[in-house]
Amino acid sequence: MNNANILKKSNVSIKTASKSDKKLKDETKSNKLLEQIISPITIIIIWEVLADFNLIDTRFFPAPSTIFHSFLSLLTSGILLNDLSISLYRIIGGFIVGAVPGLIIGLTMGLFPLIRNILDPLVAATYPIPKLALMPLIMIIFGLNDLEKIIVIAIGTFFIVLMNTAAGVINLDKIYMDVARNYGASKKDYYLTVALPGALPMIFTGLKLGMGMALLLIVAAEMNGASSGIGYRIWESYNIFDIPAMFVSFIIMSILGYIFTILLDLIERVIIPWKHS
Amino acid sequence: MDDIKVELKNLTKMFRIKKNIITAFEDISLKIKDGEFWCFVGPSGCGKTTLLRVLAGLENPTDGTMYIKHMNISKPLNSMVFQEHAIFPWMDVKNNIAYGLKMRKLKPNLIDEIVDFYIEKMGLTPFKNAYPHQLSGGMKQRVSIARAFANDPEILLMDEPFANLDEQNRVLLQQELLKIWEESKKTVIFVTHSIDEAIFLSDKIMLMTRHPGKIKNIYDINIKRPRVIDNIRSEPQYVNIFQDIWSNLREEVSN
Repeated sequence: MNNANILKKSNVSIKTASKSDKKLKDETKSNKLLEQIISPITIIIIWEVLADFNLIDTRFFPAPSTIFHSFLSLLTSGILLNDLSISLYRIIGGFIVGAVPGLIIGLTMGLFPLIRNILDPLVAATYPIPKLALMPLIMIIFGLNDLEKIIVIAIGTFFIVLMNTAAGVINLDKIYMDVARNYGASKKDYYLTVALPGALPMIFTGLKLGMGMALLLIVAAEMNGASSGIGYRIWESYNIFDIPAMFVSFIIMSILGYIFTILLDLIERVIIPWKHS
Repeated sequence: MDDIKVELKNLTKMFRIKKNIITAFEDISLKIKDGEFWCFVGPSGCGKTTLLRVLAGLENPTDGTMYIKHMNISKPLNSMVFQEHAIFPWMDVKNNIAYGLKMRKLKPNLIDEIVDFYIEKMGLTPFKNAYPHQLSGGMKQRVSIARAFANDPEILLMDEPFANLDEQNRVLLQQELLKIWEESKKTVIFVTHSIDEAIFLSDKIMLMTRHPGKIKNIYDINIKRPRVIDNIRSEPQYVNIFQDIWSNLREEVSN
């Protein structure tokens, strides 16, 4: 074998090695996407087949194609978008009305033991009352309108945000307080540079849970005294036995929940860049 | 008596835990001169960390007197270097090191200058804007030390700062600490479990008994400076002092 051949051979082997490396990387990337899509698509396909062959009771589990048709008609008639906007108004309104006081009171309870000791029994006594049990009272006080629904959602959100916020402050490692003291921080400095930033991860947990609670409560809140909304649509579909429309609402709620989670995650990543990813 | 920086007379600390009174340490009397490097060594639970915290002003003593000379009111009296997890996770390296200076409301230009100086000194320049979760344990401790030195205190209090590090990082940081200390002439009180570390670093070692901690012995380490980790163990005094401390410590630990 002359030298030129040997050289050529070694060149080829080097090329081959990098080619297979790249192939491995690409395969891993596209595999992941494939894997993530595969199960929902498979479920939909199986579901459709079962429905078309009447292997499941389509009165209760309509075929995906039927659900899709219902979705299209709700969309084109404008009902879907109207429901969505009204519910979003109530959800976001309720979330803000609940979260803001929750944050403020939670922070004060966390930072000031005196306030914590005074308010703790009140919180402990009122939190366990199911919000749904309070609904009739809220309806009497506020009437049957958007405000009443916002209040229902707000109460649910309030407690969750409050407790997580207070916990975030209280559970901060005591050593940070030692550092702050040792390096000359005033009380105010401590609150602003240590307690507040340190509590942010738990505060965000509270906000995410609070949002979940808001989505949960919209269905209950729109059960009575509503004429539109995603939750209302579920109950109305029940009344007229339009099951496909009900499923459309379930899917919309699921997508809403997903979007809100992504949004809060994004905001969190901006506000808390220091958290472990 | 003019160069006495810290003088303790019969210093005692007791805690009430539920219905019991626990004595952390008692009857501690010693004199620390300005610029000396002291190590407190003792078995676990002997109260050495509590003693350090009392010296830092984080706890009040129960009995006895504590005299610390504050020469320059414009400088902080002491800064503490805690264990690894005491730098703020929500601040980057730069802001962590600047913390004491910011709390003292120094001018931003001055703060930047001082911080940059110590970042360079501790080899942290590439990590200036990194967050603690991106740093290794050794790096975090460098930040912790830089934060203390940047604050320019008269006394440096160090609470087992290298305890959670691997051997190599430990050794490196011991050397770096000595280097940066020798330039600054601060008084240092360093708590450790490690006799080896204590002998390498200090001028004097206070050995404590087991709980409740009293002074067992005070040792003079007359090994010449600058000390190098490579040949510290071949110093003739090293072996003798080590044996002496260890036999005393073993008494306290094994009973």
